[in-house]
Amino acid sequence: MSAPLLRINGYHPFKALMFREYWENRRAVLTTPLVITALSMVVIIISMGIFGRSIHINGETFTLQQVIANMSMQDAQSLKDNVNHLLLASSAPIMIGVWFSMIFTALGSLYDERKDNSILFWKSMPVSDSQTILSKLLTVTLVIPLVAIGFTFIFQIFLLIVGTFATIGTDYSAWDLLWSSTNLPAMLLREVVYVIMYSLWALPVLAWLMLASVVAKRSPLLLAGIPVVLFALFEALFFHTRYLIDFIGKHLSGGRIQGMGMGGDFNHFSPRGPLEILQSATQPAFWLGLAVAVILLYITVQLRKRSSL
Amino acid sequence: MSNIITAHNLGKSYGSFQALNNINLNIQKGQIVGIIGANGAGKTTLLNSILGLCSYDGDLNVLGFDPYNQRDEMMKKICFISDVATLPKWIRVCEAIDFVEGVHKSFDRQKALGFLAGTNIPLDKKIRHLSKGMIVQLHLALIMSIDARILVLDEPTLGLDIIYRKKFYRQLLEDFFDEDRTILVTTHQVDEIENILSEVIFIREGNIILSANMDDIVDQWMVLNPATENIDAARMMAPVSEQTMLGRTSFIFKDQSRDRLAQLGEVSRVSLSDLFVTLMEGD
Repeated sequence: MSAPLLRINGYHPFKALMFREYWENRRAVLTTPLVITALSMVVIIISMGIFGRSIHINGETFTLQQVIANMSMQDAQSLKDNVNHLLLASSAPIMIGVWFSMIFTALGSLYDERKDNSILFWKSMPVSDSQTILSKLLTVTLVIPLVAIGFTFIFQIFLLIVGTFATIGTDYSAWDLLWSSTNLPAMLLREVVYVIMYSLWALPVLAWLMLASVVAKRSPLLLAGIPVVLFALFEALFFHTRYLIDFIGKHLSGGRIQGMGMGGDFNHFSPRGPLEILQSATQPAFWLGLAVAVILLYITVQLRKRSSL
Repeated sequence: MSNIITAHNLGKSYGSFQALNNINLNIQKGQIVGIIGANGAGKTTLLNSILGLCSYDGDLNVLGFDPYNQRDEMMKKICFISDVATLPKWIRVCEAIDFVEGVHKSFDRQKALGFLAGTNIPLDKKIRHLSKGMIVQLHLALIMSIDARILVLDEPTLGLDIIYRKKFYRQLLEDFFDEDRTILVTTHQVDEIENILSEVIFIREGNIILSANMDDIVDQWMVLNPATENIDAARMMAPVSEQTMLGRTSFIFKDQSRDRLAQLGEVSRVSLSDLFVTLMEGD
């Protein structure tokens, strides 16, 4: 399917490296978000009531259409106000799946090539270790999540279309209820900004995983995890502190830039706007993380230079 | 003649194990050099040093580059096939071609497709679905389509059957090798490459014990199969080694007069494998 789209055509070393990452990680880049999106769509279609009543409220079952038909004016207003947030929240399964793709792609990035002996083939090509590692880093931090955002965008449009069908036969108009209060470009922009900032926040952790990947003889996951656990225990026992865990937690949660107050209530779910997300870069922790990432990546490059098998 | 690879006091140790021991080496353009040694003698370490795959002590210059620090620049001019450096299993044949074209300026796609047309390798298949012979053919096709100065082959034909092995070297000579290029090759099947080599380097325990031109070897070393009554006379002429097999005794001589030996029996050319065994058992 991708054959005609994907041609390198002539001498473009970095482009070739990026394609190589795509070919190797097709599953993480494309298949994972595709499958999650497709499954989510199936779940939605089922819950729409095509296969019978499936929404359970106080022991009674309804179709989506019935729920909309029975909404009070107040509920409808609330839905209108929160439709953007709802759509954002709906992409959570895709983004969670992609988060795991990022983690495991980073862990395998410099390990798999040693495991299958192909490292000597890659090293027989005139590309530097730093370029190779940069291509892997970009794949993990940008390509995988940005492709996923494409899928969330498709899914959001799908939801709006489904919602439109659900309003047919009710007193509400789809335009009023859903489309007029939805700002798809703004949501897309917000998600792109979020993904970039998340990757920058998480960079020290991802760089650590890549370092484990270049060193590990057996399991990069264990090699990445065990020192962290040991150090955290050591810290807790002897100093009664938890700096390392806090550091990892903060960076892995993207500096908590998402700003989700998941209380179960619509009104407490208040995702931040792109500007607010960008503002998280003013925190010293953000820059500290980037500095740590640069050091870890430098070590990773040096180690790949050395390790030929 | 210009040296394209020079090593001066090249050494490499792994802990207390000395894999290469102050090696000095000059390899000139237009040669096919066989590097021959037992397992663990240091052949692969030498090749890996030349390819910039490992660090080393001493001076090493390959095409004017410092291999370890300038590997990416240097690899524009060097290609490498090894039994252990396999193509990644997940890549498709057409993707491998795309990739090599993307990173090698001098890659000629038409040439590669031409070589592949002569095989039954399907372009849309992944490497994991190809036989070992096909993978080596593909690798060779990719590499022969790069305008490289040096080709390094480390046990390239290991695990291939005899038909593929013969084809491999024949293709290399016909379609790749010329006076501007140099080939370094290690193999256990010494007899198969003996007649294509122009230089030979014997390595033992990290030392070069012989580095010579094939013509010189043929001039200097010879095998004598003496008539039974001349065996004692042959022993008197200080042979390097003596071998008895199936009741026939043969001697290997170095720097002896061919005419004098011919008086004692049949004189023939020494095979590299016999010479290798002789030198390994000596000292």
